[in-house]
Amino acid sequence: MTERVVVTGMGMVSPLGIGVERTWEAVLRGDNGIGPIRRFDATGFPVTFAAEAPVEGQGAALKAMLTELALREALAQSGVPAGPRLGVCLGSEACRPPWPWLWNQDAPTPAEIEALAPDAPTRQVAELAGARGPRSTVSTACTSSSQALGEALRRVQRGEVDAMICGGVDALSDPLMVVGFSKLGALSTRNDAPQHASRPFDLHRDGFVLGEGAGMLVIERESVARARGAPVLAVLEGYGCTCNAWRITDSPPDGRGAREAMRTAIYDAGIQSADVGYVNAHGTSTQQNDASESAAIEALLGPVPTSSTKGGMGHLVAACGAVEAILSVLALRDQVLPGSRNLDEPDPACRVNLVRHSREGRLDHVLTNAFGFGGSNGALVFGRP
Amino acid sequence: MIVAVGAVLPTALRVHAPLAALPSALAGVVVGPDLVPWLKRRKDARLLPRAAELALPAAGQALFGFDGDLEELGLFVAVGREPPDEGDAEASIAAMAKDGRLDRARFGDQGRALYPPLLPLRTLPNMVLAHVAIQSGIRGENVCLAGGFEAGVGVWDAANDALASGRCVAALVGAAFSAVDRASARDRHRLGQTEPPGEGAIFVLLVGPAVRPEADLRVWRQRVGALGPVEALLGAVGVTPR
Repeated sequence: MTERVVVTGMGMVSPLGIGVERTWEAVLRGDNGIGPIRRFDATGFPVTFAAEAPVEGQGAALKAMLTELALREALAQSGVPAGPRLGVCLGSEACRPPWPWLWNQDAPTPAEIEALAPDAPTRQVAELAGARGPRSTVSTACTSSSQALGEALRRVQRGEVDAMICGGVDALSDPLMVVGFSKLGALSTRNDAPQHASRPFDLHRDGFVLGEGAGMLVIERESVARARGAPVLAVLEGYGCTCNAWRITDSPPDGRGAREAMRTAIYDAGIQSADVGYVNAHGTSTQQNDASESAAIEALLGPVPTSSTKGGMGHLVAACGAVEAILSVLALRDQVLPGSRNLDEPDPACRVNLVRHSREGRLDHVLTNAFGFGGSNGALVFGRP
Repeated sequence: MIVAVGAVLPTALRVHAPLAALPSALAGVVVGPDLVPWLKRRKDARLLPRAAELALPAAGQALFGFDGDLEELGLFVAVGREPPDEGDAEASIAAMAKDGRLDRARFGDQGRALYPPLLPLRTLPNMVLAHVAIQSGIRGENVCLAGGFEAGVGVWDAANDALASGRCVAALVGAAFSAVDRASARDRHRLGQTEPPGEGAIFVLLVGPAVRPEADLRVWRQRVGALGPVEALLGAVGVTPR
């Protein structure tokens, strides 16, 4: 039996605030982090709102700032030592090039080009944290940081390292992303009421809301963490991932791939389905995802309490898996189930036990999902320390 | 244990027309490939970025004859930089021109109308993994790692772990990359990389102890090493050391 792997540090920047506790309090209150786009003049765009983080910046510089803020909070809590036994695994996509580059109006420097690469945040974290162990960057769209936590878990379990910094970052309030995803029909178009636009599992949902943010966790071998007196926040007990092998944008209606990812994570955690006390759903607020995920949860877990925290913070895409993993750890810590903002009229087709408002509950194990364009599914199980 | 290999690699340096405006138009280009045998539906070809066009035949060759359970077949893919989009979005960007500059406000209307609706999906780094999984029906554990040399090593580690632990009975491991386009060539030029760009894909099919009980990890590692090493082969097709 492999040694347990525990969470010893967490950091976050979300549309609801800078810092883990600030975001968590806002989630529990049901606050809104979605509003008119500030990053660029969105006049005339099909969607004029987004879930932007309360941080100034653009493009690669913004991502770097989000990464650093979340990292420093996680490192401060964990106190994990630098060195060759510390690795990094992040979920991230490439940054969009600034407009002038597209027309060769301003020649970027080599450093500016490198800063756009998907693995730029990973290199940044390794340098800031002094992590000289293995590093990798997962790019599977919305599943990226869920899989990054899973890959980090495996590296610790294999004994390659004592600790890993894992998480994700994304910043999608960008003209190309707004136009691209709106042409796919994936975005909510409630321009007159952005605070009500992200409504996972609601009958009147009409798409997701592009967001910005970063989530970082430090995970470690339990013996190493306890020996150095690190705070043990939760146990990362299990991880499962699958491919849908279905279509690029759609999920299979029966949620088969999602169901198998959850089943694998539960098996990996060494628990039974009935032991899961809460599911933090991917719940994007799109018709397809919420219906498919509901089918998967109902089939595998029955009436387990389920909510999506994207109602107040939108979809952080490559960062959502890590941010929602942190919220799941906090649910365990405080024995509270966060509610689903904007769940005014639950869709009867989503036959799951939805948590509308935050409430207390008895939680020993929680499960968090992330599913991506392209069909990768990730599920993580956390347990009390 | 490696039981099959599939590769799509350039056989020679050629003058590549789209690079004509750059200091060197030479590139290691794959001619073709013919995708029809590897697609479920011919129309799926319109969704493929170049790296996925290269990956499908390579993955298909490596999987040829595989009759195991696709639920227990893993897929572990290393890719390079995000596929470029400037060629596809050119008309959209041109529509933003005003007085010789790009006017961002025009993108919301004139530019948007010309923006290819499938473009965001073509430019995601995980599209190689997605298309190989869809066309081959692979539904097991998976990961797509992006970036430098560590991505190529990382997919081997992940596949090795999945096999050794029994989470997969077999694993398709590979890398695909193409830098033969104007956007990549321009960035390479700006980065001072003067060698001709290339493209290619390689996949290997690994089976684990559950399939071949006699194949322990030590023997497996020796055989991987004897192949060249395969890590270097992956590096050659796109995951290059920094």
